Amino acid sequence: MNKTHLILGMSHVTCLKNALSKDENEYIDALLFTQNFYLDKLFERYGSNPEEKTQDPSKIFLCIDGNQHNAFSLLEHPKKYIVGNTAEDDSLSNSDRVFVPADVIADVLRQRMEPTFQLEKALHERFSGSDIAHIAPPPPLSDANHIKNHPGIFKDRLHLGVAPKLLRLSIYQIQMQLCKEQAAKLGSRFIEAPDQAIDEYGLLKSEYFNLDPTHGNIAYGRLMLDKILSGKDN
Amino acid sequence: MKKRHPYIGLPNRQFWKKEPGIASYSKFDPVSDVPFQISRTDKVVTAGSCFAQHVARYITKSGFNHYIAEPAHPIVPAPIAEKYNYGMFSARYGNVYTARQLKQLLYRAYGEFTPIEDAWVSAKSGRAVDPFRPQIHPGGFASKAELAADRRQHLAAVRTAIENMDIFVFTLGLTEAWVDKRDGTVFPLAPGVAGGVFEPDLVKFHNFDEVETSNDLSDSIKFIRSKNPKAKIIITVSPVPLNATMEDRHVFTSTTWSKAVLRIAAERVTKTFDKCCYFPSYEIITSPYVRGVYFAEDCREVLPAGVDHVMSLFFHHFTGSAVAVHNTEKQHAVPDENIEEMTRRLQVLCDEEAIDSV
Repeated sequence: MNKTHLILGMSHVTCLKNALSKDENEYIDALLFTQNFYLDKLFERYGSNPEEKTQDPSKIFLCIDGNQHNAFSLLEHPKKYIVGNTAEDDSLSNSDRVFVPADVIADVLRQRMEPTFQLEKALHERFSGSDIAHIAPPPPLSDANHIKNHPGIFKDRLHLGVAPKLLRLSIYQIQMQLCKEQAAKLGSRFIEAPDQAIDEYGLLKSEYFNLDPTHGNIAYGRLMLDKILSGKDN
Repeated sequence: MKKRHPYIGLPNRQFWKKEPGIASYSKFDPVSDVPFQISRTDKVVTAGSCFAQHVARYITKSGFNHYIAEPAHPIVPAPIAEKYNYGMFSARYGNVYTARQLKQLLYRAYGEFTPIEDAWVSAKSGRAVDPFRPQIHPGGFASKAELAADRRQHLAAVRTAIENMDIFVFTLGLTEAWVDKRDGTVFPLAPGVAGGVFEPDLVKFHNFDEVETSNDLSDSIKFIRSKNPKAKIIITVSPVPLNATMEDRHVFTSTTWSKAVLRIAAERVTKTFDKCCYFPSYEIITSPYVRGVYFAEDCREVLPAGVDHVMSLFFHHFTGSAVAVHNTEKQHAVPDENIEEMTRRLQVLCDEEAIDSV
């Protein structure tokens, strides 16, 4: 392999991969972990140990397990809840939902993301000579109607209702905090979603929605590519 | 026929030498007749000092209905729920050490008492500790607003527990406490121990005597019965000695004084209220009959065998049968169905998205 850059992850890599220009395709390898492509196939491609790293990319961008937050807050849970946060927000005390402190949700997400963290650790160990950064998945969508109009596989669960923006954003932010901590623990940078793509609340602007409830489109992928390739990602 | 003296014909339990525990400590049974039984469907609410956690755990694991009015949300797996003290007691009040603390908890739940002290907020981190349950949320809440939201939910759960319970088991633990000089608020732990800052100008040490403790306990029971007249009440005294005393004397001398006060208070209320009885946890663990075998090497912690003895007698007398304790988890041992289904669908969605890129 002669490509100097590797973008590796799951479905959120798709928009980046599809946004690659012909020139970028020459030096960027964008790979998605799937049931048919996992560590064994990656190691077939790059070798299974660091001693073979003459072929390793100099820069790696990881975007793994970015949809975890959506399992909790894309749609309402049958037992509706609200999550605490660090803001001095009176709405927390005025809600008739079950209140769940932010630390509790963080621990729940941390437990569920442990396999991902182990995978990331393994990748860091394997690619110890590469400059590795972790990429944030796109934030929750700013328009709930898009989720209702493009529910895809969630169509028969729409009766639960799309979760409120604040809940979707809170859980995303908690996940991002965990990802930042994990990146720091592994000695990496964490690259947040591009400023141009998010609105004043921190949600994804409508022009960057994919035609499904959770992913960014090619335009979003382009923005993120520009950000990570510019080197001005801190 | 006239008795030769008044002790003739009394039950064996009233004579020291007739106690089977002399021959075998495991047979020691100081429980007198109990005035009511507990069924498996009765909602049992627990509160009290750290020993009350044992009582709560055994009730939970025995198949009886340890009524949890403040459970963790279903998305929270059992180990995490336990870390944040969901299900330890019927509501997330943590340890309630003194009768005054119980009374103030009840009054706070119904808006009849609002302490001046509201939150202990760290100037450095901004995290907020609840002064009335300082160890309930490890590390403190993320913000004062979060603490307020959690407290609102918690006090609503206390009301739910009080109004729906059939049985209330309260374990008296301490007489020594720290009190806010401004309004008499009692803190379960001295400010500075697990949050807050010790300000001698604002708090004072107080050791509640038998009159104060009896009155506080009596007021609490009256209050509970005003909300739930049918509630049956079991009072116990923790056998765990004081960890430390503020009195200028040996900690064990303070322990005997405190336990004597608590024992008197318990006796007084059981003589005052119907369907209110004393269960001798304290005696089972500390009696000479058991020769100290139930204390751990630190001479303070109660060993599991001691808790087993206490709870086997509890179930024997209040349920009429031996009760097996199972290590079954009541809280969300199985993953939340909704989250699992959402995760499965997200996996499908992500696979489809990935296929699009190939």
